[in-house]
Amino acid sequence: MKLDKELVGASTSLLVLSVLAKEATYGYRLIKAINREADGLFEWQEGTVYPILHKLEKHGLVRAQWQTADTGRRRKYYYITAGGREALGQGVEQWQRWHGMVMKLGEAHNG
Amino acid sequence: MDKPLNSDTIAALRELAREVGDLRGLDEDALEELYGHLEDKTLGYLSGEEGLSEADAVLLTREHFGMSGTMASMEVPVRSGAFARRLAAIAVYDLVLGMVLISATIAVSLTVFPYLDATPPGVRTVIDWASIWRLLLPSAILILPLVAWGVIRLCKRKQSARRQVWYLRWNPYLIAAVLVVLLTVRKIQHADPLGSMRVVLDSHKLPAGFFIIGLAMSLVPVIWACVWMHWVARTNRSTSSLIAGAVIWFLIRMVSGRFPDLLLNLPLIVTVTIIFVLANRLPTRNRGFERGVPWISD
Repeated sequence: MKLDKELVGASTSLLVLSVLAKEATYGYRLIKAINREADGLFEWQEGTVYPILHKLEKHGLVRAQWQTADTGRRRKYYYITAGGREALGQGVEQWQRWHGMVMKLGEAHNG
Repeated sequence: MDKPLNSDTIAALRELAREVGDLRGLDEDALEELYGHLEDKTLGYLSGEEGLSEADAVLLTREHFGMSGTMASMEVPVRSGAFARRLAAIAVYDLVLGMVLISATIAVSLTVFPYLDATPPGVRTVIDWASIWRLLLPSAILILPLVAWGVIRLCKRKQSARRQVWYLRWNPYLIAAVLVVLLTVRKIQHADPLGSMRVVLDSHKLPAGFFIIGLAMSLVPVIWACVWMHWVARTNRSTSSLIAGAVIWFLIRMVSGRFPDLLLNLPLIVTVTIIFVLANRLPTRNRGFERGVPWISD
């Protein structure tokens, strides 16, 4: 089953912050990580993640730093900031409440 | 993921990043990030980390089969963003070439026919007019399309060699500024071009044959428009984009002074727009508008 696009779209920032909270990474790896976690529920296109990262950076929720690997390749790594962790905590809590309400209403409907 | 890419591949990826960056107006930092992504993607394909879909496989098959014409029509999503820039480029070329031609015609006419100054206005002989039009007509009919053909060939060669043409590279504001300057210069040049030749047209005294020449002259802008707009319509664009392009093109021409009367030129706009739309539909069935015309299709 594929998730509704609007549902996924409402949680994009949260998904990015969740991945970055585990490990700092760069755009390509971030998309791979999210698509892997999604396990077929949705698939992010390549152009999706960069505007989100840039928006989060602008709001101070992540910070970016160029790093050069042993191969000489430069990649822009994104790190979650303290503000980002706080926003992530609040976001997760909101989703849990939302999820609880949807489940309660859903059960009432089915019951 | 650690297999090094060769220099040609790196150059091609840099060029691709630059193309996308130009279309989307990315800064150097974002451009470098985009390049890194493209590099990772390519390495992912090489290592097998990125899976190939059937559609991807078909693309590779077409590429290796060498159907460049077919591939060109598949580049629409990438190139469509450059429509406004290509249109602006056409306007720049059109204005510059037109100005050069007018200046050259006036200069040659004043040099070759100085005796016209001494003749009273309104009493030109047929020989006088024939002399002028024998010069002007071939100039207009031959020089403009020839130069247009040369410019199109040059741009296509650059694009084929994956070299950036100026209108995809320049800042949009700079292109707009150049257009404004050219339009202003052209307007000044059009203020009284025939007056500067000291010639007064008295159409009542001209023989019927000169109306045929006049009719032929009126076809020059149509041919000119077809050549340019064929270039704009090179890829399979939407009808609304083409109509918008044609209208903008004619508005630029009108503002620049070539066609000051909208109502007079309305049938021309409609006719040329229909030609553009039809030409644009052809590539899907017939490989291209220019099929069988090797001097322009390469």
